[in-house]
Amino acid sequence: MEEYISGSLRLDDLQTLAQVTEGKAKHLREASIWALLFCEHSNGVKIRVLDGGNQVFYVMNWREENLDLDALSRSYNQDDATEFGAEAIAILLCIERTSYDAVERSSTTTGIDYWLGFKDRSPNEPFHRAGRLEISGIMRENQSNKVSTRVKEKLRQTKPTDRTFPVYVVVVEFSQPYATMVLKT
Amino acid sequence: MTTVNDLHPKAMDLAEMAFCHRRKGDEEKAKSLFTDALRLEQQAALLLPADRASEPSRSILFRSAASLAYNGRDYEAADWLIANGLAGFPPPEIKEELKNLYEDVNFMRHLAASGISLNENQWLMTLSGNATAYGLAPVDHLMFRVEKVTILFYRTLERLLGKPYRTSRGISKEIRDNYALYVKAFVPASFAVSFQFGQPHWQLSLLPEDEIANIVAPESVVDEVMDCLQILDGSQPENLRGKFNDETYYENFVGLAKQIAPDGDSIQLVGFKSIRNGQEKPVALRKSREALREAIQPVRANLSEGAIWQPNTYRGILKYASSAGVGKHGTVKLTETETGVVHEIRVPIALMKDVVQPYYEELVKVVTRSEKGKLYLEEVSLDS
Repeated sequence: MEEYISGSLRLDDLQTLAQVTEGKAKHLREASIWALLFCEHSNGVKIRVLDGGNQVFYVMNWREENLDLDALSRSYNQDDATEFGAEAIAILLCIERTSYDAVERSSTTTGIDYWLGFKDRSPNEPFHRAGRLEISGIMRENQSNKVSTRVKEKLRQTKPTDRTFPVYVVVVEFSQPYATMVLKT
Repeated sequence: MTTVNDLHPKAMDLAEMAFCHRRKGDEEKAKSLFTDALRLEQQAALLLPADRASEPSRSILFRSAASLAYNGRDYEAADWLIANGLAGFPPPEIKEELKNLYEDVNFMRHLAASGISLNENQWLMTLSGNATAYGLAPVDHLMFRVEKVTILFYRTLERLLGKPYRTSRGISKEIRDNYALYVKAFVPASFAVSFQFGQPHWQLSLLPEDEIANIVAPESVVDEVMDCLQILDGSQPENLRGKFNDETYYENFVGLAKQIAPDGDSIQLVGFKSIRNGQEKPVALRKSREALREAIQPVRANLSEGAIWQPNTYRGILKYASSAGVGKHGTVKLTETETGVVHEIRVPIALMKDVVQPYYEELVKVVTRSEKGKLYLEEVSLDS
């Protein structure tokens, strides 16, 4: 089957798109690059995206100037890179493939929650018409750690009574690489 | 005029930095950043009037601010922010999250006020719930968990030492000698117990097969147990799987954690606290056994693709237990109290010794799933 490329996911665009600090954008970008390089992919790798019933492909890329690969390899481990790398790719995918054009954050007891929103919202209502974004990452899928079960798991964690917000579940797998996006309304 | 958008993103930037410092172990800096973030997030939340038009932003901001207060250990501020969030018109899920946060805050306040001064080689477990409402915990709630926590400690130690999963026999003498775990104190008129672990004193073993190849600090065993429990109780319990190279150890950990977890009304929270670098490290296990079963079950390796999760509950006497021969499962037989019907139930080997065998000849409640006509055990508990 012909692999039609729908577009590019540029890790260097994270700061602009996600409206996070330069430091946070750098952290997400580096974690994602670490995970892709760890799985022996190179700049320009194609990522397969399963969105609803559709399968599309994107090219992942990043600027290589000023990227110190030795320092990068020492700065992350598999756990960090999987978690934050998946966040980077999920954010880029959601901005690319949904009508949302902004990312909002809120704090929880264990970390930062991501929400999908709109740039043109009132300056006092950041979560107006927002949707929740649930992200999960897997470095290397295997029999006991599958993307499909992660998606089911995430969908089940959002209770059936949760009707106020649409919920996007994105699970990213780095070794193949591919991502599954599911919208639970 | 200052808007939410002027304050909230700055608060989140500070919160990101705070979590980053906490990950690196710089608790002092993390706490200071959480406090700075809280000040901004609280200001942002207070800009919105408590009316329906402000939702869901208002309640999300209050929940976020209360979480920052919780992380900065400012429990009074967290209480106040939760109350403010609930006083508006929060959507159902944010309302539930605010209520859950209130329980966490209450529990942490209790931990802080338990009157126990811990040092670096001690570890505290505390129970909270209706069974402890008058400052006394029924002994079975406490002792049962003391036993399971002890098993969890030694299983985690064996895993970190790189030992293969032990399906029979007890803990080796060498491990017991080097990693003694003591119950230090039951707190009077309370529902807390502290454990103390000794520091290993290494001597060459006369039995080379028993010799411990790697040295693992007991503190790191406690840290590992606490980290795993925190992941299990968090929003991404599926990430726990990634910490285990051995599926049997993983299933054993989840099985023991379910036994330790709150059982509903009687015990609603099980908390742990340790001290590292002079800073308290608390973990609250708030998910009930049922909630953990729901959260973790789909990523269990032994649930084959396409299998349907349909829990069946049986009550009766656990009459017979046999360990596995060569397979991954042992079997137990359960005689239903009311009907006398006998069920043969397969038990993952990871649960056989530590979770199921202690219930032999007891009146139990067993939750199973059915797969290809066979019953597989998911959970067992005393039928009280």
